Amino acid sequence: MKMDGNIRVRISKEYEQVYNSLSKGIGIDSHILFFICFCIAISKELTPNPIKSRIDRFWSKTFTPQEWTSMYSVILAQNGVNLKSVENDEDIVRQAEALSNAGMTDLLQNIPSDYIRKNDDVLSFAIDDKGEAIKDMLFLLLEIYFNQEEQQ
Amino acid sequence: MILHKIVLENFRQFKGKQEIVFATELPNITIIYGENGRGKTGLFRALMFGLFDDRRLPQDDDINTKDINLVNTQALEESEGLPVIASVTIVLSANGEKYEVERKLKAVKRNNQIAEQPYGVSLTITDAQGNTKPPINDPVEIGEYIGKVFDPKIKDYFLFDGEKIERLTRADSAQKRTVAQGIKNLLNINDLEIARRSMEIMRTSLNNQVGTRSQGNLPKVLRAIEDNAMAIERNSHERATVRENLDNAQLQKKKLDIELDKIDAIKTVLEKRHECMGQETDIQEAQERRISVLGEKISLTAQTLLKKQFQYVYSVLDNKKDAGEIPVQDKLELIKKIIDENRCICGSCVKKGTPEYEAILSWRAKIDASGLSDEALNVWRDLSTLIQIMPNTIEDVRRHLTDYESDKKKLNEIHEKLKQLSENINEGAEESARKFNQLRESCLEDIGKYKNNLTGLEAEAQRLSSEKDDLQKKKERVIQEEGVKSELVAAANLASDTFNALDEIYQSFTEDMKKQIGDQASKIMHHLLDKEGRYSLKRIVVKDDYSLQVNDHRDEPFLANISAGQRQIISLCFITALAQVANGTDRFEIPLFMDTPFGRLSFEHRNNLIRFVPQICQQWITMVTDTELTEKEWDVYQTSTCKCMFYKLNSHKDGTTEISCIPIENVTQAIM
Repeated sequence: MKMDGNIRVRISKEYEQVYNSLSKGIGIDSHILFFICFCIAISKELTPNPIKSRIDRFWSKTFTPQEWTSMYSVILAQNGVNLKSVENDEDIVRQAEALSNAGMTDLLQNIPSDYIRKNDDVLSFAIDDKGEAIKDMLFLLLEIYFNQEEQQ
Repeated sequence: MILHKIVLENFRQFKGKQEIVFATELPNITIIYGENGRGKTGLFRALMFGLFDDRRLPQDDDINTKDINLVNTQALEESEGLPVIASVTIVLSANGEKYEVERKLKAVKRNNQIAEQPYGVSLTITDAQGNTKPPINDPVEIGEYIGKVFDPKIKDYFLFDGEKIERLTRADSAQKRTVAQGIKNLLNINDLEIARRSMEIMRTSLNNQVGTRSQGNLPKVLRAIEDNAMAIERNSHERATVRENLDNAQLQKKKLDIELDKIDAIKTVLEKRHECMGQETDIQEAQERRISVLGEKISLTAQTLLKKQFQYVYSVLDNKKDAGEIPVQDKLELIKKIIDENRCICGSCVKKGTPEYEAILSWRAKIDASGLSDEALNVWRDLSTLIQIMPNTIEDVRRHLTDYESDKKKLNEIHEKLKQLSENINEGAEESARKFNQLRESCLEDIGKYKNNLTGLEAEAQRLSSEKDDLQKKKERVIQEEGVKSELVAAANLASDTFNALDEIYQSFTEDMKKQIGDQASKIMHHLLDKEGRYSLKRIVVKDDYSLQVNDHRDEPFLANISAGQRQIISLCFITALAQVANGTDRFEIPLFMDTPFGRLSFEHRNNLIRFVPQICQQWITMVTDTELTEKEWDVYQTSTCKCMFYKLNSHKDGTTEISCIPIENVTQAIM
């Protein structure tokens, strides 16, 4: 729980262009997109999907304290709030990677298909209107939130 | 006069011998249908050549005479330098007699030059009993005969050229001359004017003679009378000129006002566009800020998805904290201080090996064993904050998204409005407005100047008129006082009285005719105009200076505002009215030729024309293009009760035209 900033955070190579295009299109930094996908996976209780072909995407120092707290909380919740379960930050990051990877697959399935481009099996986002893309991303998150609220 | 037939041989586009038999039974229409360049105007040209030996039409003003060849050029090509004879034969009837006139031309083409020359003319007259007189070959004698059935002075009104006829409604001096000449020619008041002018010359001459042969005051008075007459005439001309200038300036001002009105409208549009663009910028800037805020909220919104986990972990940590399992930093610092200083905060000694010391160590071990640390406390603290802000985050994002949608809608509306406004804006309108304003100022100056001139000239006219009366009385007094008695004086007096009487007749007759023509033209106009036109246009007025004016329903001048189609209708009304007034009947007694009459007319105007014209003329010959006569117009022709003949001018592969008579039942197919 030291919020170790020296860990290389990895993503699936398959989603590299998705990270690039969203960063360019709506200014979402890698740690944010990683975190969004992590949250989606947790909220929808998705099975972690370990990355097969991985690439280093960013340093863990770019996570905000709130993002770290969120990741710690999720792991703590999964382990009966046993503080030992969150002692090793690298373990936390690796678990988050698998969850975020699963969340990304779900995101790509549920975001309006107009945004998705697939060239030679490489996925990316096509964004003409930054405002609309941000709006659709928020709509997607709110929908998950309200579904979750209804279920409770 | 009724036209029965025209036969053309090698004339203009018509190679070889071809003929058109006109419809003659009342009411009737002969339609000559062809695309541009097929020879519709060539047929009219043939009539004018056949009847009057005319080689040019009024519309040829801009063309060099040498450029108009009447002999068919293809026939000339094929003749290989040998002469070609072209002829036009016209059969017509008038006053119970039948006339057949044949006029020929001979042409030869050498060195790419075509030389044409007359090749004889003949006229055969058959009387009502069927007796044919010997042919006449003297061109002058033939001209006299033709002139009796068809006055050459009015031949220019025989053809209505739809493309050019609307010039009659232009308020310029050429138009006024055309209208004035038309009135004088058709009403035969040229002779009256000649008589008036002759009497004026005679009066002047006799007065001069009386002046030179008399003594005393009489010559002086007579000279004064002549000077006064000349001054009156000069004044009259000057007034006419100033009136014309004033009319032109007022018309110009009216046109400029219309342009300025348009620009004023554009100014309002420009202001609206400016306002819209300001709104657009404001909303766009707000939208940019909102998008940036929403972008920043994505991470927080995602975090709200972990609400369940947050609440669970927070509650567990909170309980542990309450149970003291999570030490605050103060506690750890206190334990460290007690161990380091071997002294409790109460002052008692805590030495190594004592039970107190061991209890302190045990407490520290317990804390270390639980793994609870500052980090756990930080998590507890962060979660506390995150859970608190979660509901606000969702509400905040929803509010921003609603505002975003609302502004997006507003922006779309503004874009649409801007698009519409931009379509109505002519760039450079402000510069044009400045120029138009300058011109308008100059017009207003001119109008003021002309009005002043006119006031001065009218005052002068009144003064001259009363001077004329005074001089007349003075002359009578002098003659009486000085005992002047001679035949010459009596003749001069008679000439003067006759001139005054003729002048009065001339003035009142022309006034009366102008009124009659205006009334008749207005009557026809109401038959021909569409519903909207009938509402907006009240009547046609032939003004003192012979210009045509159209008044609106408030009887205000409206000519500057009417459409090209309405101008054409008004010109047509004027000419038809002129012919009717001249004839003294409601029917046009010469055949009415109309070349491309429908080009500028709406369907309702066309419909009215097709239904109305056969009612006012004995014979109607229309020459129409394929765009003027469609199935729609043909349906109207068919519903009229007219006897109809239909000819189609077909293009031959060698560039010449073939005339074919189309049976009525096949016309629809022919015009498709």
